[in-house]
Amino acid sequence: MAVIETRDLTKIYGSGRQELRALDQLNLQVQQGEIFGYLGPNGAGKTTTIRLLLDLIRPSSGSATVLGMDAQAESVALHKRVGFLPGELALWKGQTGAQVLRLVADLRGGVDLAYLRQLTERLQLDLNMRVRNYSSGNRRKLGLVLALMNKPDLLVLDEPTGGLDPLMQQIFNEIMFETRDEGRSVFLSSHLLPEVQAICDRVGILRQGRLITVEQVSRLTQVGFRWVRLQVRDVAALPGRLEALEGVSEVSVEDSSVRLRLSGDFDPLLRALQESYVEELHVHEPTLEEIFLAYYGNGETP
Amino acid sequence: MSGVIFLHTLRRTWLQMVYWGAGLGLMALFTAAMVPFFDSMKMVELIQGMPPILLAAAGFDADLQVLATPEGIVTVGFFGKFALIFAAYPVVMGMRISANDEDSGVMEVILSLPLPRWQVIVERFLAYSLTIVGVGALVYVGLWLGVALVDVQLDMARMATVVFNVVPVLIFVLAFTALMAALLRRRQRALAVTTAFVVASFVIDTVAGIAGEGLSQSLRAISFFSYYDPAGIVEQGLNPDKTLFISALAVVLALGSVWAFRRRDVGL
Repeated sequence: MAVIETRDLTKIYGSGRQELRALDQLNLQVQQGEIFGYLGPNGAGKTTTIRLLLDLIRPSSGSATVLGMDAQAESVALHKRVGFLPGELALWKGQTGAQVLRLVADLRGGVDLAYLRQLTERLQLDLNMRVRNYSSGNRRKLGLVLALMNKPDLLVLDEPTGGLDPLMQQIFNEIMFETRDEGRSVFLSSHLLPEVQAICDRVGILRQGRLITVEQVSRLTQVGFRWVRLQVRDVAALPGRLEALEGVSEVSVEDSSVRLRLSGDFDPLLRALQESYVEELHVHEPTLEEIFLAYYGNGETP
Repeated sequence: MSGVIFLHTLRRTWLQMVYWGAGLGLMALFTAAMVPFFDSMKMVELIQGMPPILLAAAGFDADLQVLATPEGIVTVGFFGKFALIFAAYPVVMGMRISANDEDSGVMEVILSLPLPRWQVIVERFLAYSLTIVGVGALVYVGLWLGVALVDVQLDMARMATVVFNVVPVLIFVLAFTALMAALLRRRQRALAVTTAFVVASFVIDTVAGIAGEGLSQSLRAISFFSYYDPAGIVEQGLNPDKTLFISALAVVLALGSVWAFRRRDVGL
């Protein structure tokens, strides 16, 4: 069953010469029980999509259903079953974390206070501080508790881990996996590929308001390439033409450091290096933008 | 309606309400306490010698004999400009109904909760309206303390009418501010238009007062200040038609703000 389904969802800001097509005929399905990553560079239309799904803004054309309900006509009923973390979380600065939680719990109604306590302990959140005194990480944690407090059927998280330290990111990942294991769904937007790779089942890639592709996350980098950096003892001992090796391109040598782009398997490269003394070997995943360019050139679908 | 937004708004505003009420209440107290020191008949003679245009500009457009009474002295001394000073309060609170939270991003969090948009606007509007009554009550307490302090004879029932008759006018300003915030989206723009409206209303009321009878009196009706006439209340009692009209207008504008806020994008 699809928990999110959009049909030609389009949002245009402004008019005339100032018209901006922030989202262009989005057709997307997110299934129950999956963690779906919504990936794209800044300004791609991720936040616009989320705001449309939550009825904060209205579509120029097209429609969206969330949890089987019309995102616009049934927004109040829908919000009972959705937890939301905005990208730029703003809260009442003069209030303490506890006061904010109490207010939102009162507005939601039926919040399990024991679960709420468990969440705050797990995220190590000090509720006695005023919001204005929270660090960005703590504010993010408070936002996560607000989104999770009602055990929603669908979590909508806009850039959720910004400001979280590695330990908290780990706890966040665990909570996301638990959510999925309970049959609930997560829709999270990000511009960070590693974040999405770490927890998502499927990924939708958005660029300039258009959905380019929806892939299993495991396939996303398989079909791409990696950057390899080698630190060798003697550059002269390297085989003559690394570019000639299968999958190797864009080789550059600087002192004893070699950087190359590798597509496909490592084996041809490793065999060629048998005679060389390799001191270090680093592999970097391509950036999101590089994946875009490698697959879709200037945005054209292959 | 759950009332959670209403109570939350009251909790966040009660202190400002007390500050405003205490400030205006102290002014009322001092004015009442000064009454025994006025030689009202001499004052009337002095004012009668002034050119009519200056009298009107100063707001003395009622029967000058009113000044000879303690109620008249308090009315001219304090309530003549009470609405103008107090008008800043509903503008500040009106911006809090939607504009401030929309500007800061808090509205995005509120509207992601299971709340219809109209409920947010209505509960906040009612809460801020109640704080206007609260400020009025504190002003009345100040007046009462001033009277008690110097043992002056004042018709406190009539003074209550003078104090609380400002409430519908200020609720109208609150509704106008809420409507501008809902229509114009941008906080600064809404604040600028509302401030210009208050200033223009004051200028129209004052200029029309100077100009006397005729077209200017019809023009005066478009100024909300003309719906608060403390000297008229002291002289002739409450004009219920004016009060009902401005109250109805406030309700229309408040409903308009709900309508405008419901149909548009939020948080852009």
